[in-house]
Amino acid sequence: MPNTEYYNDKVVRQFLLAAAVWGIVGMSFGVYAAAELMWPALNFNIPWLTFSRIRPDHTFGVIFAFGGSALMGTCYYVVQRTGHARLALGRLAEFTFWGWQLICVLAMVTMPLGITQSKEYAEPEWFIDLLIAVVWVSFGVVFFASLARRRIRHIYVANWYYGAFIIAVGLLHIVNNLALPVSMWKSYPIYSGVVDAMVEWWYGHNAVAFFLTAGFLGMMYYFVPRQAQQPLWSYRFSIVNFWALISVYMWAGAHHLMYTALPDWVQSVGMAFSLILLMPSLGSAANGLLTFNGSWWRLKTDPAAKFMVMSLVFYAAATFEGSMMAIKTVNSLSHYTDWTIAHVHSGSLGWVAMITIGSLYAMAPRALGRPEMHSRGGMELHFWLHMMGTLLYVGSMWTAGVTEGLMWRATQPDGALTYGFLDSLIAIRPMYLIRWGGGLLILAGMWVMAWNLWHTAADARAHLIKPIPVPIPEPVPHQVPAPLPAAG
Amino acid sequence: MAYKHFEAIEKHAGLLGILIAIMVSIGGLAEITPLFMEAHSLKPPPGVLPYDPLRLAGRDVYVREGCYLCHSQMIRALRFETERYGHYSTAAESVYDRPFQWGSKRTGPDLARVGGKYSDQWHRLHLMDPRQLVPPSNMPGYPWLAENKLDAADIQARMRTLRRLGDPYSDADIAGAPAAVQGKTEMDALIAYLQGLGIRNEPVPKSTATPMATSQGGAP
Amino acid sequence: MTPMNPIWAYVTGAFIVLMMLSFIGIWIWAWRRYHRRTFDRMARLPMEDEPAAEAATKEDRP
Repeated sequence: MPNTEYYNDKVVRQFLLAAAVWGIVGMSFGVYAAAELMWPALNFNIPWLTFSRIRPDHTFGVIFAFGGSALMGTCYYVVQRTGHARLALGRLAEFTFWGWQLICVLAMVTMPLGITQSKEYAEPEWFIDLLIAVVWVSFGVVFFASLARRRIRHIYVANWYYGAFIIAVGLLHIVNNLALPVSMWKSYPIYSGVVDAMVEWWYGHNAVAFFLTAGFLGMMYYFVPRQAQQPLWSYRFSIVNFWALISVYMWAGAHHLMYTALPDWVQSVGMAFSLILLMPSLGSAANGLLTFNGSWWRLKTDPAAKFMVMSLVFYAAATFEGSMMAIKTVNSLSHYTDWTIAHVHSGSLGWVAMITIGSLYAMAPRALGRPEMHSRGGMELHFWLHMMGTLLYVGSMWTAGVTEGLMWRATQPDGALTYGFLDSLIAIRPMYLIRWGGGLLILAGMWVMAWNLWHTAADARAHLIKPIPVPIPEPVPHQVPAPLPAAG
Repeated sequence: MAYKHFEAIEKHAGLLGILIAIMVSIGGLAEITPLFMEAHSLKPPPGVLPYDPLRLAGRDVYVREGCYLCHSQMIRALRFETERYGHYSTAAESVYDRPFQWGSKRTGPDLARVGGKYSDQWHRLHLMDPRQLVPPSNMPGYPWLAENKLDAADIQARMRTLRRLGDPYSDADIAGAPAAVQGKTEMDALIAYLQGLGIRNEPVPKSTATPMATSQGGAP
Repeated sequence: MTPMNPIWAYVTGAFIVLMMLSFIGIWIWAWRRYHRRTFDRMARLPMEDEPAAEAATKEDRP
C-alpha cells in the first residue's frame, strides 16, 4: 500500500514502562515516609532517609515521575489517534523521554541529599529546573508539531486539555523557579516573603490545576469514550468546561493562604473563584460519567472501565471538597491539619492514579500489540487493593485532620486552650497506623499492575509486535503534510 | 461575523495555544502584579534586619533539611492561633525570607515565634534526639548537624548573592562573616536561627512602641 | 500590608467582566446548530482505535 504511515508507539511504550516503575518508586517513598511518622526512629539517624528529606521524593516521584510519564505517554498516544497521523519529530520525542527520565533520576537523588529549593512541589534545584524547561519546551514542540500534521481537521478536545497542560505548566515552572544561583547546589529565589508565598502557591495550586487536572482530563476525554465504546456524552459541553476551567483555576491559588499575611482582597478573590470552580469541575466529571450511560454493564467485565468510573466519582468528590475547604471558615479548621493530606490523596489516589491506571490498562494492550491485558484477575485484584487502600487512607486522614482542627481550637470557658499541641499528636497516632496500612495496599496493587504489564509486554520484549498503520482515508500521493478534511 | 474567528480556534493549533496562554495568564497576573507592585512599598519594621551570617547559615540548614514540611512559620489571625503561638504573623516580618517558610502542614507546632521559648541547650538535646525530651514526639533526630562545620567562604558567597537580590548587606557585614561562623557547627547555626524567630519583631501598637536595640541584628 | 492602590480593584473587576462575557460567548458558540455534525463526529473519534475497527475507517472519508 502506498504512503503507509505507522503510529509511533515505541515512545508510548517507553513512557508506559517508566510510569509503572516510577509509580512503584514514588509510592514506596510514600509508604516509608508514612511509616516514619508512625515510628520516627526509622530514619536511623541517616540524613537522606529522614522524613523531611524523602517527602519531596514522594511528591516528586508520584506527581512528576509517575504522573508526568503517564501524561506524556498518553499524550503522544492520543495526539496520534485523534489526528490520524504519526507523531511528528520522532527524535525529539525520544529526547523528551530520556530527558524526562534523567530529570526524574537527578531530582530523586539530589533532594534527599539536601539539594533543594524547599518550595513545595518545586524542590529540585536550579540546574534541574533548567533541564525541565528544556525538555518541557521540546515536549510542547513535539505535541504542537504533531497537531499541525493531523488529518482530522478539527482538534479533538482531549488535545485542548493536553495543550493547556503543556503551556500552563511550562509557564508556571519558569515563573516560580526564577532564582539566582550561589553555587551548583544552592540558589535563592528572586522573590521574598509574601510575594514568594503568592508565586509559590500560584504555582502549587495551578500545578494541581494543569498537571493533575487538565492533563488527566485530557486522558479522561480520550480513554473514557474509548473504553465505554460510546460517544462522548456532550462534546459541546466539554468545550465550555474547558475554557471555564482553564480561566477560573488560575484565580483560585490564594485559597492556600487563608488568614495569613496575604492581603485580604486576594484571599477573598481566591475563595470566590474556588467556589465558581465547582461548575467546570463537576461539569467535566458529569460529562465523563454520563458517557458511560448505556454501557454500565461493562463495569462487570472490564476493570479498566471500573477504574475510570471510580476516578470520576473521586474527581467530583475531591473538587467539591476542595471548593468547600476554600471557604474561609472551613479553611480555618482544615488548614495545617491532616485534612489537607486527606484531600490531596483523595484527589491523587482517587482521581489521578485511578484514571491513569484505567487508561494504562486501556492503552497497554494496544501499544504492546496484544488483544487484552495478560490477566483480568490481576486487574480486578489491583482495583480492589487500590480502592480499599484509598478509602483507608482518606478515611483515616479525614478523621485525623478534623480531630487536630477541633483540638487546636478548643478553648475552656475562661479562654484558655484546652489541649497542648502534643495532645493532638497522641490522639491521631492510630490514624497514622491505618494510613500506613492503606498505603501498603495501594503499593501492593502497583506491584500487581507491574507484574501484569510485564506479562502483557511479552511480545514487545521479543520484538514480535507489528506497528499499527495510521488509518489514512485515501492514499493520495504527496499528501503527507496536507491534512485531509475528515470532518467539519 | 466573529463566528468565523471562533471556528479558527478549533482548527489551528497555534492559535489554540496562544489563546490558552492568554486565558491562563490573566488570573495569575491579576493577583500577582498588584502584590509585586506593592511589595516595593513594604518596609520591614525596625526590628527586622537581614539575617546575620550565623542565622543565615542556620536558616539555610532549616531549608535544606525540609523543616517546612512539618512546621509552619505563619500564625494566622485567629484567636486560638494567637493564644497558642503569639501575635499573628505580618507580611513585613518575612521580607528577607528567600524562600518563604510559611509551610502548609503542622505535624509539629508553628515556629514563627519560637525564639526564646526554650534554652539553647534544650534545642540541642531536642535536635539530637527529640524523644529524650518529648517522649511522644514523632520528630526525627538530626544528630549529624552537630558534626558538620560551617564553611565561611560559602556563607560569604550566599550573602553576596542575597545582596545582588536586594538584601542590604554591607561590605563590612560580609567581611565579618568568617569571624561570626568561626568554629560553629550547623547545629549552632540552626539554634541561632530558631532562637531569633519572632524575636523583637512582633508588631506593637504605636503608642507603646519603644525604640528597639538592634545591635545584634534581629531576624524574623 | 500597606493599603493598595484602588486602581487594582478596577483592573481586576474589568478582567472578570471580560471573562464573563467571553464565557457567555463560548457557551452560545458551542450550542450553535451549525456545529452539530462536527461535534457528533468528534465525539465518536476515540472509538476508532479498536483493533477490529481498522477497516471501519471508511466513514472518515469526506
